[in-house]
Amino acid sequence: MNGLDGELLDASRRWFEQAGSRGTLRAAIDAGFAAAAQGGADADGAFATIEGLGLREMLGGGGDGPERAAQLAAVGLAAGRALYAGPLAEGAAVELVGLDGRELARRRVQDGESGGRSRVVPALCGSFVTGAPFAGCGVRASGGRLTGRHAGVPYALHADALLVAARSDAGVVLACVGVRGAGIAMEPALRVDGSAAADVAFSDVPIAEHAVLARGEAAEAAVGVLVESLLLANAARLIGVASQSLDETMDYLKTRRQFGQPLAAFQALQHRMAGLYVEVECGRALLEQVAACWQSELERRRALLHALAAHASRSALAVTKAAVQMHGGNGFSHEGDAGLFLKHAMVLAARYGSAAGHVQAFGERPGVF
Amino acid sequence: MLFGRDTPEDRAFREEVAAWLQEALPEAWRHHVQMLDAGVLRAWHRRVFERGWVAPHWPRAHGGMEATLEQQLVLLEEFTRAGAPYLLPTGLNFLGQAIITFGTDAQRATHLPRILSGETFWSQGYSEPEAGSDLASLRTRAVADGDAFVVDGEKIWSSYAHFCDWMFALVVTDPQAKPRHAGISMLLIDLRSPGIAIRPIRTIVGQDELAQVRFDGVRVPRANLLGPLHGGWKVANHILGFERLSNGSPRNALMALRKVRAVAAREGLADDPVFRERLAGVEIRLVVHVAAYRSAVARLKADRSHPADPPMLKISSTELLQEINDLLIEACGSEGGAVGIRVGGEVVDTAGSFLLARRATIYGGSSEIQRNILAQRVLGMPRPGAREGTA
Repeated sequence: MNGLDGELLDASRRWFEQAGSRGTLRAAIDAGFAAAAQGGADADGAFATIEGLGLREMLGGGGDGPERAAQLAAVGLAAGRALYAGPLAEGAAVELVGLDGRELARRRVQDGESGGRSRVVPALCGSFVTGAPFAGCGVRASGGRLTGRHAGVPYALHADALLVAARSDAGVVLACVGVRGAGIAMEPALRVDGSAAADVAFSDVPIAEHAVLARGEAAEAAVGVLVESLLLANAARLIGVASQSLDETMDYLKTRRQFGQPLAAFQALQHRMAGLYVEVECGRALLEQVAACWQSELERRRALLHALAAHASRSALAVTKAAVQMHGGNGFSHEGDAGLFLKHAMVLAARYGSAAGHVQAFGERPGVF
Repeated sequence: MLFGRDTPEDRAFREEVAAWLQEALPEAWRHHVQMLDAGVLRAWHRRVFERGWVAPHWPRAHGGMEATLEQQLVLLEEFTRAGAPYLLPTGLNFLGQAIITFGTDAQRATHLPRILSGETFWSQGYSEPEAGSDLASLRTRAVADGDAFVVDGEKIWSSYAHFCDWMFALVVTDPQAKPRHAGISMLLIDLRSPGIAIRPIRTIVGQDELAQVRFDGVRVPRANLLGPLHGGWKVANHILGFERLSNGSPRNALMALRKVRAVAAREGLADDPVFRERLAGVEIRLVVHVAAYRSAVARLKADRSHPADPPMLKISSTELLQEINDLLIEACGSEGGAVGIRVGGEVVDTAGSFLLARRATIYGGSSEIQRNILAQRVLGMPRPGAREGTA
């Protein structure tokens, strides 16, 4: 049923599986808060999977078109299925805004920081679901310095540098800032799937001129592209999580026997699974269609992404909750995997705005019909 | 186009369609919840036929447009936007496909042109008083007698049969067959034949949309057998796929949404945050459904239909339609029970729209049956009831 690049999807699935993503997620939950907070010590681990996959190379230089959107969607689906909880589009932020990774590394060496393979994740303004994304921006750039706070930045603990969006008197500023510089403090924020985001505080952090990547309208456009790519990839991951959860639930229903027959023979469960299947497949169709029309005018693309995000969040939670239910005692036990899917879905479903937030954001835009 | 931009060709086609509708579709025929005036339906069908747009999905060899996916969607969108009456799908979307696939040369020559032109309106004879969801248990008999079959029995819930010309009906030709559906055939029956009595059935909408059709010793020529003798179940299943895809069209949901907006404007609900969120929620569901519909139609055109498509689309479109109509009634506030709501100079039939939507999850295979089909035939879940240790 998949209109996306089937080969890329299959190859990515194999990659994430051999990388043992599910085991990594379970281990992260078992290791607890202290370990997650030390995420910085495991930057290699966090980025290794997508670096091995060559995601940045895949996305780099591709331009902002339907092909790249389709690639992101296919890899996202695969990552979700494998319960890969590390950075995905977040780890390719530099490429997604059309910057040259090597150029960026060169600038950072100029700063006296290690160049090499910079691990840069986005630290963007406030909410993804407001119509005026920069209105409530928590970070200001003034006199060559950053002050303020970005809350809940995914994967910040694993990164070398942040792609920071800030407000200035001259409009939006996009700058690349090393995390180990003076004035930057990170407070870990643990998530239920064992990952940790960070609340990042900037206290008069100096930004060199060459660290400023864009200003004004160019910066707004770049952040817009980044936001939309993150929303697309995140929705793909959610649909992947839901798809795999549904498949494993189906396998369980067909195998587990009670009252002299497989659970799958009970009509109540058949109807429930059919309904969830419709939710997941319709979401997959929307993901494909949104990726395919990636060139359409901005207003409608953003509205469609809000629709996709709302649907992906809501349906992934519905599927993974039902999975726990239908696995019975095994579903509620940590030994079983159903809970892993639910927890990862909870994190992704909220990461860039809740379903309700996206519904509201959709409603605030001009109607698409 | 919801997903993507119109190409210059699509845009030109869209403008052509819109302009033609402006001129050819009278105001009095527009935006009816359900058009049941046979005269209007025939006249409208004739106009669309003469313009060449009545069968965009048919092969050119049989008089269709063989339209691209985009052209089909443009026609759907513009006809919906203009509030055009629904072209009866029984001939155009259901039987037409079956005659193309299973018909004899004589049947094609006789019936296809008349389906296209609207000269013949067709009704569907499937359900019976004792055979609804369990269609294979139908009882209408067709007994061979020389060069004809003699048909006895009755059909129920046949849409528009009281003003249709012909009916395609499932009949039992081998009562001993096991399984039962191996003894069923499809007959094409002229409703003006002697022995046929048609009784219209009033629905909860207050209109005579359906009919009961009794057959008493009705002679039907053998040449009217569609497909092989005792092979009617296969023909019916072939039609069902197209029927459910057709039922999956977003047309009705789009028309209902228009009503919601009109009523909401009147009630000053546009600024009510609770209402806006509900409206955004159903619009998002419609975006999702249109994506699924578009994907399925593309697969159908490429001859790569997935068996999940018809049940999935039917479930999605019909349940969404009901959700939109729920919102429509809520938007009416204390007039939720009113017979009609005055909006500007127009009366919007809110109750009629809501009540009509209740049939969507029942006809064409109920939502429960669609879920059974998805679960059992697509997802491979076993039929309920078999117990360990029993034969």
